[in-house]
Amino acid sequence: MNGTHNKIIGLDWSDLFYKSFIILSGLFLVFFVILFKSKTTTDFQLEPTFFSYAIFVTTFEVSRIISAMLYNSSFKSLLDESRPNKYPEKYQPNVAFVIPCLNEEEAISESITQCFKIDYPEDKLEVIVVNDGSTDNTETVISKLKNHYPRLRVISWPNQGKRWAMAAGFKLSNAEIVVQLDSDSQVDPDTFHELIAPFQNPEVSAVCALGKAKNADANVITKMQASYYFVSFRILKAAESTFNTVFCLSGCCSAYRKKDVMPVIYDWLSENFLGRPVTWGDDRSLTSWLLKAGKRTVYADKAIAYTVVPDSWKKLMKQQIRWKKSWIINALLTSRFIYKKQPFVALFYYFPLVAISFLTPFVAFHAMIYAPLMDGIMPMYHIIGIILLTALMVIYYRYLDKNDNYWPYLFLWSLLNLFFLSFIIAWAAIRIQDRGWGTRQA
Amino acid sequence: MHKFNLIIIKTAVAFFTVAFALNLVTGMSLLRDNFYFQKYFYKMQWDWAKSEIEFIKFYHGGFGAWLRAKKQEKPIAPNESAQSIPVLLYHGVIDDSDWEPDEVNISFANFKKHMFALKKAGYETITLNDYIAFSKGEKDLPEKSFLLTFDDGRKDSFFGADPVLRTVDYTAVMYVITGRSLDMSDQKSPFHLSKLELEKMIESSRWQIGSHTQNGHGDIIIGPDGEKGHFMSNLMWKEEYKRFETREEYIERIEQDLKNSKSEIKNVLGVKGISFAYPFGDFGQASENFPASREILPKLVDPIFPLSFRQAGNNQYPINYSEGPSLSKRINIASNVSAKDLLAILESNEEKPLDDKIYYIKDTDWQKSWGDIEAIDNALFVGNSEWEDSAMTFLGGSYLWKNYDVQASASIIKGNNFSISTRFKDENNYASCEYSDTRVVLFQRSGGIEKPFIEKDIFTNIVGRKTEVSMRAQNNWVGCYLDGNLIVSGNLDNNLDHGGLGFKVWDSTGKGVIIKLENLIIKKLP
Repeated sequence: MNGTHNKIIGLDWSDLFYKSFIILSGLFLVFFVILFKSKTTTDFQLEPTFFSYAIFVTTFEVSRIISAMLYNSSFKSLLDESRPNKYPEKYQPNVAFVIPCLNEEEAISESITQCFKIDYPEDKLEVIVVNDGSTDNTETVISKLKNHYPRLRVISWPNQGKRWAMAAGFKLSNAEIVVQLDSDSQVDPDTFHELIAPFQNPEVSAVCALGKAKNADANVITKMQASYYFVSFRILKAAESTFNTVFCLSGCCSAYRKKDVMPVIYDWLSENFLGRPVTWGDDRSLTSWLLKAGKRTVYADKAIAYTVVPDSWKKLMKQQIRWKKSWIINALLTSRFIYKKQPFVALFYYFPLVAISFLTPFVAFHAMIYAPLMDGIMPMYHIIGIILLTALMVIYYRYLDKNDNYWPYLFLWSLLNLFFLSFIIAWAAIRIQDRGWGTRQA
Repeated sequence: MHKFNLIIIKTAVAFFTVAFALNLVTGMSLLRDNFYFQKYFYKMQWDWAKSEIEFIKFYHGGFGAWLRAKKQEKPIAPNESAQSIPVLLYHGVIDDSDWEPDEVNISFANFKKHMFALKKAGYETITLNDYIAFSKGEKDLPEKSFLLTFDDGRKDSFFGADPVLRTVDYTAVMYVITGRSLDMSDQKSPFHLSKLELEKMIESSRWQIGSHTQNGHGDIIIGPDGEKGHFMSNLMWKEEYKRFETREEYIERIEQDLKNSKSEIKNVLGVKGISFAYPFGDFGQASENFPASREILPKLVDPIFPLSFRQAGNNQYPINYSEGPSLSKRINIASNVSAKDLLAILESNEEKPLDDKIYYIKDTDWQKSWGDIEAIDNALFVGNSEWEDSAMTFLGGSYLWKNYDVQASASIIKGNNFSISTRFKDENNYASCEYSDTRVVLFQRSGGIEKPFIEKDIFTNIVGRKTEVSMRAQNNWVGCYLDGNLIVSGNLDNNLDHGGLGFKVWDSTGKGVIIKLENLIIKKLP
């Protein structure tokens, strides 16, 4: 094998050089951000928090990018481990799709059809649809599909909640790998095997696919989300996956090793927060329980899934509030064990992330509202800093995929975050006891 | 192998992250106070770039002309040597659209116009050493040389002036209140230049540093009731002893301050502070409780700072001759002085050659001591302003004149007395022919002391008609003429061996005055 040496160490030096160049140019940029930002805090002694925040966030983002750069190397070595001796060339375990659905008469048909398009031995692939008490025509649609695909298995029961629907699928299937698929999401049949491949390594318990916005071109809201999905999967999840510790296996399409999920499934199902069951955040929560059990979770960059993203401000806001709520609850859950199970990741990633997400609303409030009103300091440098940090992300974004044209919307998304979304976490914290879904019923 | 790989990756990420964070923290704390990482540094660079472009437009009229001019040979600098040096005094240079003229500071835009206009008119700055050599008569400087000074060591004057100076290739002197700029305490003034900035100024070789006292730029208690007065020119009231400080204590206090400020400049900045600017231009003349300070101060300052500056009064030529560096005069440039005004001030103070016959009718040639001057149709009108009831004017650039004859047709429109002065140096040194209805007096004042005057009672009938008057000064003889006849004459004090021309008009009842002077002829005498 050529380049054996590189593969063993897992580092491609020429690529690393190019990446270092990106980092350096980013550093240069960011260095100036910070210097200028330090000038806006009139006196360091008076405002060390806001001074440190800039360093903290910048360092965090740079460490994310560095980690994401090492993703390929880590992922490849995970697959290469001892192959070809240990694993068969063609790895095709039994796979089951579990698709919980609630009032999805329009989307469900395509989700199911796509699953059957996958080039996989028929006897090894099953599709289970859990109709969680739909009140529309979903039932009829599924029945028609069942005629077409006799192998489709259908569970139909009164509404029990998404977690229970998912759990039923896990229980019912006999497959080794269970792919959890949102009712409005589809797998890309051509890249499906990439989602399954990491399971060759017995240490891997769950794999998350790359989620893409199916309706990206609908309007500016969906375009922004397309760029945000790109960053959150290809940079942030990739960075987490470098250490085999993806914290949120996206609900739109993730595959689980059944035997690893079953021991924690009741903990997951009976999750409570402040005396009430947690209805959303199923994906993030299940991942946490797996991590707590010491399992490995990875992200497969080449396995693609498409999902429908909110196309109106109202829907987007409801989704964001739900995500933020589940993040608050899950951060408390995960913080309690992660430093024991994954000390490195906890120190270098998880706790900084928690700190940033809870600090940001305060800093944003200070920069955008307090300082302009009380001290007459305009948040010009703060905004420039955010834009430059986004630019740094965009540099790597462009490096990853030169054909993706949604990157300009990342700046919009960052500004939206600054002016609006960062405050939502406060709202989410206040409304944490409201366990409704907002977009769909429980 | 995967575990081994993961260890490498973790180490790399940990290393990069920690190194990055440490870099940021140390970099920031190191560079926070670095001159090149200050906001104003970039503003200065930007201002400089803009002023370079503006200067090319202003000086050459455009870029094409500039390129063509570059190919041509540079004009040769004037060969004639300067007989006098003007010293300009500025304070803050303010770049703020909200700022309103305050008499002390100048706007950035206006300052830029000043410097550009000076450059285009051929003026060049000189250094302190050149100035001292000139004032001692040891060195010839080219014509149109001037010294540029700034008082109070303000940040804004450096930030505003430096980009412009860089463009026009001028140098300047900054008078620093060392107690506020160079004290060892960490307290950083947002207003006064810091040690670091002063070092960079010196490094740029565009700036020289002088002393504006250590802590003497302010008021002290000068009386039992808490009255306040200038630090340098008053005796301090010692409240704990209920007495004024003694003369010796006063000398000790002033001397200590001067020495401290000199040594601070030497020790902190590593340059010699050879010059001193009196705070508020008060060298004792504005003393409230200790007039003797007028005599004492120069004696204290001169041994420590060979060159000292005051501000030029209205009754004196505001420029400097080779008469020693102590108490040199500076022209204070107020907010509302336009570039045109500034050029007019300098031009009017340029030496006027004493040819056989000259007419000086341009009103900008005449300096106002008080009152108003206006030139209308070849006649010079001298009259009182709102605030005074008399008027005095003298001809700029005539200080070095020696033997000459002045003739004029004088018509008193209002008032009843007027005089012609020759050998006028300032309000304390001049000779004059005073004309009133009933007599003509030859008066002289030297070193502030009135000399015995010569008078002749004569019915002159000067009010209400056009009178031909003239005054002649030749060597140490001076004579007053009326209608072509010598009325009085006498000998001059040795001190009055040279001096310029002036006119004064007043009214014995204090009702306001106007005199019209026509056919003004000045003749050089052997």
